[in-house]
Amino acid sequence: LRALESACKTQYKRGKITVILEKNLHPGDQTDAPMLFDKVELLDHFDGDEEFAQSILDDALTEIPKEVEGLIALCGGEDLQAIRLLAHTIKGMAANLCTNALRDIALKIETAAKNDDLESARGLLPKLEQTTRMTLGEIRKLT
Amino acid sequence: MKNESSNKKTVLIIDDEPLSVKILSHQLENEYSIILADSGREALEVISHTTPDIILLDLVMPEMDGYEVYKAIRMIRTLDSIPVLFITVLSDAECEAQGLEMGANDYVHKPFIADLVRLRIKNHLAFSQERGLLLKRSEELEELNVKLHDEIAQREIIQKAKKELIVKLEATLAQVKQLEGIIPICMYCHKIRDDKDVWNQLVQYISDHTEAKFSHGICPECATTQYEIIGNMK
Repeated sequence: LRALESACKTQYKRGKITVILEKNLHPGDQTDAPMLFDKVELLDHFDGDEEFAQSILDDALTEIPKEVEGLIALCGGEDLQAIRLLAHTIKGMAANLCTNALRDIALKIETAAKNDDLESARGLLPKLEQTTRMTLGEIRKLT
Repeated sequence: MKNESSNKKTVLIIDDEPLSVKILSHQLENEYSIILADSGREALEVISHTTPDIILLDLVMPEMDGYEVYKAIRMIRTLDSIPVLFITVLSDAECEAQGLEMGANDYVHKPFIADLVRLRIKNHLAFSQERGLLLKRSEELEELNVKLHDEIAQREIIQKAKKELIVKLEATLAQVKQLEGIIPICMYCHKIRDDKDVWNQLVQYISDHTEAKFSHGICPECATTQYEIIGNMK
């Protein structure tokens, strides 16, 4: 309700209010795990500019799979520095897109690479693939 | 640097991640002129011919990371006081500490929150402007101080010269003997009475009381008179 009041006061666009309503009308969907994609937060970061958010999400649908595939390929090799850099890029991108589950798994891979732990980084790849798939699914639903 | 046409301040964004660049540009483009560089090398190329007002610098980049770029920026005299804000993900406390230790002005965190990013930039530009004014004032005061020191040195020289002149003058004055006032003189023999009540010959008296000396010549009248006397004596 507070988020809705805030959205009304600050004259956010209709899309944001719809998202807030959807989120609050289905509280059962929420868990303690990081959200796959938080569109309310994303709109908040962009001053409620839904058109721009849409454009960013369109880019994300191209950029995320490209970078994740690149990371999976790198984990086939042994260049830990390259793995760390790409995981860091994915982490930053995911943070900006408010795709928090993807951000967290990218952080774990980055940390593993930083600690020269290639096996752990590789072990996280199935989770990365699954999270990516689900995240992209969530984004597609809302775009 | 100000964009001449719009009078906007310039933000240089150095980041290799296209989405970050797109978001930051969108959040700032209404208030600022934006220059982009997608690597440290490109950034150094840009700043070799452009001076931005503030720099947003991603820390983790391939080839040349943000720390190296930061060091290179600070080596350039015209950029050594320009605010540099590092771009990082909110959870990177380690990176933040390292950057702040190096002298970074602040951080902008991913996810970029438009209001916060704009406020941070606005505040740092204001600090930078204030700092610039203070530095300018400080330089002016420094210059004034140098001038004052010069002036004091000049005055000391003049004062010293004046003192030396006074000493010389006093010494000269001490040598000057002068006759003044009423001098008691005998109206017949023209002897002069001195302070000890002794009557002196005029020549003697003047010799004793002035620097004047006498040549002991003979005037034409006396010459005539004296030659007559000498002639008669023969």
